[in-house]
Amino acid sequence: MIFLLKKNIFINNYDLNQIEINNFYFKLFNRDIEYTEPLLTGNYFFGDKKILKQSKDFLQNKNPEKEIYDYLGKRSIETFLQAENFYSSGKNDLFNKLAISGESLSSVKDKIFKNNFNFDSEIINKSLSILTYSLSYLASIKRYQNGERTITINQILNNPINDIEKQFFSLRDYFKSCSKGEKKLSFNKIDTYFNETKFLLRRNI
Amino acid sequence: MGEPQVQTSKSSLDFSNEFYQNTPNSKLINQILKLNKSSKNPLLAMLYGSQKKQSDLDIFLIYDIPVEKKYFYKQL
Repeated sequence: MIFLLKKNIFINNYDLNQIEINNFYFKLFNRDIEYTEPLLTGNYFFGDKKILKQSKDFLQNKNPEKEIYDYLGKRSIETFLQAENFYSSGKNDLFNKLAISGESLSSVKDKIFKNNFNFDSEIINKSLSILTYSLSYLASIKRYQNGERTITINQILNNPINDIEKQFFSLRDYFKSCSKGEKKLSFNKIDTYFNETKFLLRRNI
Repeated sequence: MGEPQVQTSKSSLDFSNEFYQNTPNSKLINQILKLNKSSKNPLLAMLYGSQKKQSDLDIFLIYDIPVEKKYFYKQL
């Protein structure tokens, strides 16, 4: 029997991101930010330091190959679609909660279809988190095309240099505030983020 | 004195050895291994993310055993 590890495990305040080594090298070659970020910004915890050193050397000393733009472009579309899926699931979940709680049809209709309803939703926060990935892949294409070899989330946040990165900054700030309970989610705002991200994808890929 | 160089092969790491048992993180390492329910140890582990109190601890793990591929990947 082949034992297959889960890609992500989230339990007891541990968020484990796991990958098989050959797949990791594929992601590394394509400079997938989901995997370059822990290497470039993380702290060595345990294991084979040679893998870490070789991987960092590759990122810091080799120029990105042109074919990675195809990969990164597809990842930005893929994550956009995943974010849409989560958004849809979150809206369904919200509807179910409203319906089960005994709200009137009129109230449910207003909350789901009008744009002035403020709410919390873990699933929709997750969708916005995934949407930031879509923008980060798009942003990284532009930066690599401009000659950068290593890109981190903080580099983008500290110095957003174009519309994509400004959108990334704004969206990340919004969903982090909502995750912490400092702000409420609203369909109006979320729809705007999705529409603007789709526009950026269509214009820049 | 720096950390000892860990000599590993791709096949496995021995977590019972002195390095892993004496490191301040050995308790956490053992917790991770139990969480994962895998008899195979990771080749490399990195801590990343905010690492602030009250935040989740992000841990990146590389294995030489199959891991589910949720997303777009190369067909090997």
